[in-house]
Amino acid sequence: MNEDLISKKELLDMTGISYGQLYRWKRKNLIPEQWFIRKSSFTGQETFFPRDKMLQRIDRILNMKDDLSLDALADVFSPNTGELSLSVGEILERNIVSSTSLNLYIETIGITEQPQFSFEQILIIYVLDKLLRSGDISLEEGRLLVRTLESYFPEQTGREVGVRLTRKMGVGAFLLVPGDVDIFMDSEVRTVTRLAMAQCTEELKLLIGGGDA
Amino acid sequence: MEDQKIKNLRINGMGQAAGGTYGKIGTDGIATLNGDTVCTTLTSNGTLKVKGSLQGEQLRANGKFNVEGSLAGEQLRVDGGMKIEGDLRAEHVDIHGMLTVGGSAFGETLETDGGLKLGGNAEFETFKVHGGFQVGGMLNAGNLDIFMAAVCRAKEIGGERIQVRKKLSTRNLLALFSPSLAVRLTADVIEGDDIDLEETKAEVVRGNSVRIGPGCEIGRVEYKDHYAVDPKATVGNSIQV
Repeated sequence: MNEDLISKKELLDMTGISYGQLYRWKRKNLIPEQWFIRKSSFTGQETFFPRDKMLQRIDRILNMKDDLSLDALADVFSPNTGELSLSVGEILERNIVSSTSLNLYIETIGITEQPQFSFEQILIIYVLDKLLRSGDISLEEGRLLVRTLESYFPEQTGREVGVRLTRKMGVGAFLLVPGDVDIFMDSEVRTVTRLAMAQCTEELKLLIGGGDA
Repeated sequence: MEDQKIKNLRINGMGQAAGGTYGKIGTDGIATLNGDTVCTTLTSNGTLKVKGSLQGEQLRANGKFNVEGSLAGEQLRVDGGMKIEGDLRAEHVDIHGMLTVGGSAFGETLETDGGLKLGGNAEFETFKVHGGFQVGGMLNAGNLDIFMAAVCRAKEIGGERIQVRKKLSTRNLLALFSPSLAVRLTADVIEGDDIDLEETKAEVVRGNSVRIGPGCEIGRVEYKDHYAVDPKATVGNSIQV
């Protein structure tokens, strides 16, 4: 993993937050423990963070902390999904996903009468919707995605999983990568699109939570 | 589950019980709970050993209290010695005596008169110690108040307000035998908004406002707004960032 790192000092300079704030956010679980990467440097030990993830996270905390309490923010960032369920009507009414994606999901899974969707199911539909909208996948590949996620997410893959669509010689394949680490494939394999499930979870939570307010 | 009445447990003298869900647990004497236990309140006088994890709202122990798994609760108060092999998670922790935790500790407030030994990290909004402590990992607290009477050690300390004081009347006989037994705080890195130290040995101290009091030995100070150093302290170098 050769991620681009940012030192703690540089981070504080760039964002203008103080040590106290950083530690408080860590205590409130707004910043996960795994992002604190300790390395030795010429001034002794220094802490580094994954640059892009950390800057994005700090930016979002700073933007949202006036509207939400720190504990509410922690719920948004926590990869755990709450016990929430919505009916088809509610999902469409709130404009969380398009009806095309919802229909495709229902058709693939094969549910009939008045279903209540759990957060996990909505998350899968949300990911499907996102990929369909971006035009990266076809309807047929959408079915494949739903089946793949339904069978492995989140029990076997964990919640911090990356979703990749790869193609080789016109044949598509979905990969679920636990921890969203880098993987290496032969040169003919093209990664068409990649998504981080944890980030989608955050987005969806905001979408659903925002509808309540 | 609902129609089944939750029973209380009472042990006097020597006795043991299986784990499980209880209402109130009261033990006087030597008691053992075999297995994971959930309760609303627990009061123990004497020795109590839980062979598993323990979860409860109000936990109170006088004497010796050992938990082989993790402990989760709202209020934990111990007069005597307590040992937890897993993690400790409690809103308010009040220890008079000695607390040993194998894993990490999380909660709102922790107050200790005596000693504290932690294998992992500590995260509390308020962390008050009168005595000594050893934290294997990182000590992260909003408000850190340390009144040293014994060896204090942590790998890293971070927080908003950090204040370290040394108890004046401590006779430092132990320090004559080994410098590692001297009453002082040792840490690799101390970072916070408002830092006020005494008798502290650290490689790096970083903060907005930093005061280095008597007896400190600091390798490097990085400060933003204020910086004051006592003549009886040694600081390698200091820069304003």
